[in-house]
Amino acid sequence: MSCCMDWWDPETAAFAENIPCSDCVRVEGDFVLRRPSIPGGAVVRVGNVSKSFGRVTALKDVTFEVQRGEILGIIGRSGAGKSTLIRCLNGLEKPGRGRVEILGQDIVPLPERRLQLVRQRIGMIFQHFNLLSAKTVAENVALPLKIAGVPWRERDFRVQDLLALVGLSDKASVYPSKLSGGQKQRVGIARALAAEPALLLCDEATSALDPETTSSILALLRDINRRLGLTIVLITHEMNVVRTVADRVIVLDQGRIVEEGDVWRVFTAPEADLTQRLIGGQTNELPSAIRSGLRNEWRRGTDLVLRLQLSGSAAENPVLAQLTRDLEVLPVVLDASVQRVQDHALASFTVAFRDPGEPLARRIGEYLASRVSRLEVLGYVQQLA
Amino acid sequence: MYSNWPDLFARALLETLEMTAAAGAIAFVAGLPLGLILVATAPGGIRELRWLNRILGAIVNAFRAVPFIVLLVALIPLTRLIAGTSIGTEAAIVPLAIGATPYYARIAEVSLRDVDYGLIEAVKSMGGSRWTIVREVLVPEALPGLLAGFTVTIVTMIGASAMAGAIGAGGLGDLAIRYGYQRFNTGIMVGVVIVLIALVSIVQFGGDRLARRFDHR
Repeated sequence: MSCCMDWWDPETAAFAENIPCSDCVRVEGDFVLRRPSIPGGAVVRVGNVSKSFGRVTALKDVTFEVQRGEILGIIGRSGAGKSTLIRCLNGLEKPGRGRVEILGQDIVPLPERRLQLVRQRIGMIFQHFNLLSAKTVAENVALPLKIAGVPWRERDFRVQDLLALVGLSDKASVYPSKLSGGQKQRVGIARALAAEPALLLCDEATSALDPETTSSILALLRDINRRLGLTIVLITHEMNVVRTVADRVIVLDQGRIVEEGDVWRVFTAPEADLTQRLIGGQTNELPSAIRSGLRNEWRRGTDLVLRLQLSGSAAENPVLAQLTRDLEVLPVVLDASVQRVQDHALASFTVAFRDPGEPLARRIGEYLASRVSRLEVLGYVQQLA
Repeated sequence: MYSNWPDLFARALLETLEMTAAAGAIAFVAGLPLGLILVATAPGGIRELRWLNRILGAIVNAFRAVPFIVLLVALIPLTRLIAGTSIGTEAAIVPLAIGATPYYARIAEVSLRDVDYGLIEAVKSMGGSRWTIVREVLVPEALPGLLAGFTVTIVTMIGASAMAGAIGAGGLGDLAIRYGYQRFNTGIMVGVVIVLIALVSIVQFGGDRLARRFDHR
């Protein structure tokens, strides 16, 4: 039996067949569609939000939307305002100016009582897990249900389902102090999902975990997003996290959005300086011997050095081979890499051409310019090898 | 006179137990909420209310500053109003409870304030009310500290109850003063001290065990 979503992966659906999606609720064993469609398709709509603490501006005129079922990554250095921003989304922080709409309702002017009802529909996980040490794993997961007024008999069923979803069925009666970091975050995720939230907020959820555990938590988040259609907003300072799970990314710097777009687009062609720097470590660098010998103007006997990037479908074309055939030149590959960012390939090459002479150099440039995503003439270098 | 000393000890022990148990129960029931209010209304608390925090803080400090023997005498009119008499074991419960309540409130405050703010925030993010935060986070998370603090309070009260002899409340302290000191009976004095050491050790041992049992950190 499954709920209104019939596109579940049959292999994994069995794993969570008792978990309703964010639109359904289980009533006496049956799934019932609970909510009509969400207005406008946007779960979150943030409009012109500004916030300052005393003289320090944390957020300045921030505007964005999060569509239903998408994973939005918000990245920035520490102090960029990420934490403040995500805490504005569930009213833990009140913006000084602007609107924060959750499911079409502006939560900024809401009194505390009404805000509590909105928060019951928003799950949140934390960097330090924030599990209650005096409660067992099962009691922790059951707490949002208790707050929502779910009768205890039904709570029990859901807790079992949720622990199965995160793979911790055998830890129900254990206290959190006995768990590893990764297990704690899994409990945090189960707890955040307990009240069938329409939105999941992840506040640096993997920053306290080792790389291996990080990937397993990210895989779980991605899986939940796919399976339950859950909308997720996550903040992080790790580029890798965004790259692994997010569909779209917002780059925040000093409280402003400096770049926004699909993750593969931002990764393959970053526009803002900060984004380039954040990604910088992941693209190839020229060997220092060549870099120091580079000159801007052509001279007799010098080699031409180019950097070219191919993204998306262009990465699958044998551009260098075609160049060799069509212009009868022999490129020497100095550096090459192919990365995949969510099914979008990004190939980048640094190549040299032996003493091409000026006319041929120009022809190479023209030939490549029309065939690659990005072409950069790095210069000419004497006596390459 | 000396042949009935087991009776004397039994009676004095019973009186001490009665005073500390009754006053201790009152101090716990009144001191814990007072500690909660102090934490909740403090700057950055879950219900920030500075004027109330300041007033309660001042009252607690005032009571804590007055020596118990002075409090005992100063509260005689109030004691008479509540207990109907100002003399005897029951009458001593009133000043003991009033002295121990602010004492325990401060100890409880320290434990409650130590609860990780992240946990409060987590329950807030689930849509929990302030009362939910108190019930599900503050008290259960601080429980080991609250119990350990209560043990300290009880031990302090056993000591304070010795002074209650001044208003004819009896108890072990009274026995030691009247028979041991005033009648130069060193045997009784030593006996009282041994009983007190045993009593305090038992209370401390029990309190420690209880606190450990609720500690899952």
